[in-house]
Amino acid sequence: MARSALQRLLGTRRQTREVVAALLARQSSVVAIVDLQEQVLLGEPPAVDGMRHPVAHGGSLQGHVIGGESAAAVAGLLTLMLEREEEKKALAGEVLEKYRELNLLYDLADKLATAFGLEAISELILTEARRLSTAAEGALVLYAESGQLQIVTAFGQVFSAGDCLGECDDGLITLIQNGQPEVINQLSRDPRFHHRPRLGAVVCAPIRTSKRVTGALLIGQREPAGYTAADQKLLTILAAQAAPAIENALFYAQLERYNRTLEQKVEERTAELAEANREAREALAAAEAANEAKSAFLASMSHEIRTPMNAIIGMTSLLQSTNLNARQFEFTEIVRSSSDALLTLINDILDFSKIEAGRLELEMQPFDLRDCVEGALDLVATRAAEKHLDLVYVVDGRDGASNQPEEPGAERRRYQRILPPPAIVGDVTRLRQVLVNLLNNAVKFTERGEVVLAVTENRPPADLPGVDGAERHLLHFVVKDTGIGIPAERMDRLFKPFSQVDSSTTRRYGGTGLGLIISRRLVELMGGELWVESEMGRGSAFHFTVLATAAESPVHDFIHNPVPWLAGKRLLVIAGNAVNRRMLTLQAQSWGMLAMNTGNGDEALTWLRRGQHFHAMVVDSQLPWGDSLTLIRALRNLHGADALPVLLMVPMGQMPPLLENAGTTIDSIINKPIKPSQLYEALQALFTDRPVRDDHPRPGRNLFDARMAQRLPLRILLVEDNANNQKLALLVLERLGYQADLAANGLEALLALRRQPYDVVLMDVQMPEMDGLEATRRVRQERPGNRDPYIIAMTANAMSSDRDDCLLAGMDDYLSKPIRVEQLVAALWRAGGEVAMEAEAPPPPVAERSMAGVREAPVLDAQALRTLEEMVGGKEYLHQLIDTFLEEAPRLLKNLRRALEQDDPDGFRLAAHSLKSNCADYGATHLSDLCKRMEAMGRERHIQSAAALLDAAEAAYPGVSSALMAVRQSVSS
Amino acid sequence: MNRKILIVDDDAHIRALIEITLESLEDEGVVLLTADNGTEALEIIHAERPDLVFLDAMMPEPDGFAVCRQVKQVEECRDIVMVMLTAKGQAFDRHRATAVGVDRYLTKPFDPDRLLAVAREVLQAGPGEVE
Repeated sequence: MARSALQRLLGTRRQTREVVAALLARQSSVVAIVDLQEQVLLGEPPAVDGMRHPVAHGGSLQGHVIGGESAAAVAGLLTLMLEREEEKKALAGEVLEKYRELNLLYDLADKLATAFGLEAISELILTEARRLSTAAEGALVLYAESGQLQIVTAFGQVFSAGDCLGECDDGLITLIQNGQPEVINQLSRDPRFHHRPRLGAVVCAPIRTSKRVTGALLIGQREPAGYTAADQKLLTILAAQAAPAIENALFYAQLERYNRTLEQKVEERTAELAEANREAREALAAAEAANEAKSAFLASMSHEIRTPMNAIIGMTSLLQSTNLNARQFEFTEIVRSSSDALLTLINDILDFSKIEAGRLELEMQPFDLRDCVEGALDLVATRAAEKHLDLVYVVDGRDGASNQPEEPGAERRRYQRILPPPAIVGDVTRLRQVLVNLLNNAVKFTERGEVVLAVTENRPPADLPGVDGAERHLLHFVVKDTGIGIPAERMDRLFKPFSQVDSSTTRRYGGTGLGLIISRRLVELMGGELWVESEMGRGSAFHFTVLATAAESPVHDFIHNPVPWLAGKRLLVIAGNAVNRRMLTLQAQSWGMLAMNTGNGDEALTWLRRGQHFHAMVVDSQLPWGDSLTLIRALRNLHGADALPVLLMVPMGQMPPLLENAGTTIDSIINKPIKPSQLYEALQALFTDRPVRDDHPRPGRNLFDARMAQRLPLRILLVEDNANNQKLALLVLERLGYQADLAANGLEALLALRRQPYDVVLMDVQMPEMDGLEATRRVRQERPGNRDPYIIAMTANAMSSDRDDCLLAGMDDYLSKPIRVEQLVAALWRAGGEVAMEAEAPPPPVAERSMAGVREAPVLDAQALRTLEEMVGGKEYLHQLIDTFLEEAPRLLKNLRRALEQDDPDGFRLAAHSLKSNCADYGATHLSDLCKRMEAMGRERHIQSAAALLDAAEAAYPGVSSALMAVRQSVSS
Repeated sequence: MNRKILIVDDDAHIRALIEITLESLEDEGVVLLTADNGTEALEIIHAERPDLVFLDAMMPEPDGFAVCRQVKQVEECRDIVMVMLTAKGQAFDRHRATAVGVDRYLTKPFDPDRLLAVAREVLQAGPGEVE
C-alpha cells in the first residue's frame, strides 16, 4: 500500500525521523504526530486529547500534530518539510530522468558501434524506441532516391518494411518534412491530416543531418493515445542517435554500390581487353603470315627481276663499246651507273627480304681467305685512290691496326693472337659482300687519311665447341678509318633498315641504308657479331667476327713460309703510312728477308750514309713529305755502284705520268692496296729473271677484246630460252669474236650437239621443255660424237643447292646472272685452258701405241720443267721434287687400277685428278691428258670404259719416269 | 524481518537520488539506510546487517573496495550483496573488484530503472540466492 508523504517522511528516513524526534523531545507540549489512520508516527499515544494541528500537503491532509503550544509550529514545520521533500523529489526526478536518457544514449551508442548496415541500425533504433515507448505501432522511414519516404523497418500492423508512405499518409509526410518532432494524440482531429490517417496517435521524431531531413522515427497506435513530452523527448534522442549512424550506413551502401559497379566495369573491361588481345593476336598472326608471304614472294622474284636487269646492264656495256660521241657516251655512263646502282639496290632489297624471311642460306665452300679479302679491296681501291686515301690491309697474328690495349698477362691468357688459317670453309661471296660494304662505307665517309682492313684470329677460352671434331676459328675483321665518325647518339640508328645517320649524310654520301643491316645479319649467320666503335671527327672502326673451320690450304703457302731465294736479302721500306710499313716489313721478314723501314726520307738517307746496304727497296709513290722520285735518285746515289732496284707502290688505277719521262728507272710497280702475292711476284721478278706468270689475267678497261676468239678459238653453243638474253649473249660473244650457235632449250641443245661438235656450251639452267640440268645429264650420258663439251651453267639462282645441283648434273663451271662480261671472259679462258689441252694432244687409238713410239716423241715438255725449276728456286730443289713425283705417281696408278677393279668411280676420279696435275707440272702432257680423260670418266661414273685409258697410262708411265730420272741425273752431276 | 538497503556515497545528492529511486521499496517495507563515508558504512553494516549495499567506489579512505574487502572478510557478513557504483569512463578494475568480493557493479550516472531492478532482484532472491 502506498504510503502518504508524511508517513514516508517520518518512516524509514532515519535522519529526518531522528531530527524530528529530537525536536519533539525538546517540545514538551507536543505529544505525538499521527497519520490519517491515527497511527502514531512519532511520539507517545496521547493520553489526553489535545489540540490537533493538521499537516497538509499537496492539497490533501496528511495527518495531525497533537499537543500544546508548539504543536502548531511543528505542524507548520512538517508542512514545510513536506514541501521541501516534494521539491527535492521533483528535482531528483529530473535528474533521474536525465540519467535515464544518458544511459539510454550510452547503451544505444554501444549497440550501434557493433551494428552494421542500414537495416541492422534501423532495427536497433526502432527496437529501442518500441521498448522504451511501449507503443503498438512504429516505423523508421527514410527518403529514398525517388524522393519518397520508404519504410526501412517497422513493427505493428500498420507499417510494412519496403512500402513507401503514400497519399493517405500525406499528413505524416508533411510532418516529417517539417523537420520538427511532434506528438499528436488525435490525428483524426488534426487539420493537417486530410486523408484518413492510419494511426490514431503518433509521436514523430525526424531524423536529420545538419543540412536536411533524411527520414523519421514514428511510433504510435491506431487509437488516440496520451503520449507525452517525455515520449517525444525519448524519440528525439533516439532519432538524433540514429541520424549519423544511418548517414554512415547510407554512405557505406553507396560505397558498396560504387564498388560493385567498379568491379563490374573492371570485369567488362577485362573481357574487352581479352577480346582485344585475341583480336590483336589474330591480327598479328595475319600480319606475320602476310609478311612471310611477302618475303617469300620477294625472294622468288629474284629470277624475274634479275633477268631484265641482265639485259639492261649487258646492252649498255655493248653500247659503250660502239662508236659514241662524247655526249652519247656520257648518257650511257649515266645509264650504266644508274643501272649499277639499281642492281645494287635490288640486290640489297632481295638480300634483305631473304634474310627477313629466313631464307638466306650460306654456301659453305672452302676458299682462300686472302683471295676473298683482296677481291673486296680491289673493288674499293680505285675510289680510295681517287680520294687520296691510304688503303692498307694486314692479315696478321699481331694486329697493327688494333686499338685494343693489351694488358700484360690478362689479354694473353684470354686471347692467343695467332695467324688465321689461310683457307676456311664458308661463303666467300657473302664474306666479301660484308667486307665490300664496310670498305665502301669507310672510303665513302673518309676525306683524308687511311682505311685499314685488319684480319686476325682470336681464340677465346675453351667454351667454343668444335664441329665434327674440326677446330673452329674465330676470325676477327676490323675496317678502321680516319673519317668523319659517327655521333654517339646516332649509333643505334646505324643498324636499322633504311636509316642513315641523318638525312644530310644521305644527301652528301648517298647509299641505300640497307648495307649495314644486311652485313650484320650475314655476320650473325656466319656465327659472329658486328659492332662499331667511333669518335666524331676521329674515325670509326667496324669490327666483325666470323666463326669458321679451317679448310685445306691451296696454293698460297708461300705467303708465310721462308722463301729460299729471298733468304737473307735486305729490303728497305719507305712509306708514309705506318700500318703499311709494318705490314710490308713483317711480310718480308716472314720470307726470310731482313727488312728495315722508315717513314722518314732523311732517316733512310742516313742509313745509307752509314754504310747500310740493301738488295731492293719498296717506296711509296705518294710520300707525304716530298717527291718519291727525288728520294729514289738520292738513295741510289748514296748506294753506290751496286744497283738498288726499286719497287714503287702506286695507288690502283693511277699511272703517275712522271714515271714515263723522269729518266729514273722503276723496276716494278705494285698497286696499292698491297697484296703479299703482288709483292712476292714483284720480288720474284727482281731476283729470279723469270717473267711473272699471270694466273688470272685481269682485263683492262676494254672489256671487249675482239681478238679473243683468235687467241682462244672455241666453238660455242648458247642454250638460252629468253629472247632478250639470247640476243645479248650472242652480241657479247660476237664482240669477242665468237660466232656462237643458239639453242632455245635443252632438247634443241641435245640435237645441236648430236649434229656437230662444240667446245663450250653456255647452258641456261631455267628453261622450258628440258632444263639445263636435265640437258647436261643427257649430254654426259650420251656423249654425242664421243665428246665432252665444257658446259658452263648460267643461272639466276644464288642458292648453294642450285650450285651443287649444277655440278652434280655434270656442269664444269657456273656463272650467276646477271652475267658480267669479265666473268664470262674469265670462264671462257678457263674453259679454253682445258679445251686447248685436249686439242693439243688428240687421243690416238690406244692400240697403236708402242713403247718405242713413246720414247721417240718428247715425253716431257722442257718449258714446263724450266718453269718448275724457277719456281722452286733451283735445280737442287727440283730433284727433290722429282723424287717425290717418282714415289707418288706409281702409287696413284695403283690406286687407279684398284678403283677400276672395285668399280669405285670417286676413287678413280680423285686419283686421276691428282696424277693429272702432277704430270702437268713436270710437262708430261700426254700422260696428263690421259689422266684428264680418266678423271672425266670418273665424274661420269663410267669407269669401265676407261680401262683402255688406264692401260695406256700405265704404259706411258715408264717413259716419263726414265725421262725424269735423266733430268735428275743431270742435276746431281 | 525488514529488508534493509544501505546506500554509501560521500555525495549527498547521489545518496538522495538513490533513495528517491528506491522509494517504492520503502512502501513495501524496505528500510533505506545511508552513510556518507566508509567508516560509518562499516559501523552500520555491523550493526544493521543490511541485505544489500550500494557502495560508491570513489570515496576517501576507506574507499568502496576497502569497505567491501572488510565486509567480505567477516563470516557473517559474506552474504551481504555488495554492489559497487563506478564512474563511467573510468576503467573499472575488475581484478581488484573480484579480489575484494564485489558482487555486482553499476556505472554512474546509473540507470534508475536498472538500479531498482537490481534491488528488487536481490531482495526477492533472498539470502544466499544471489549470485
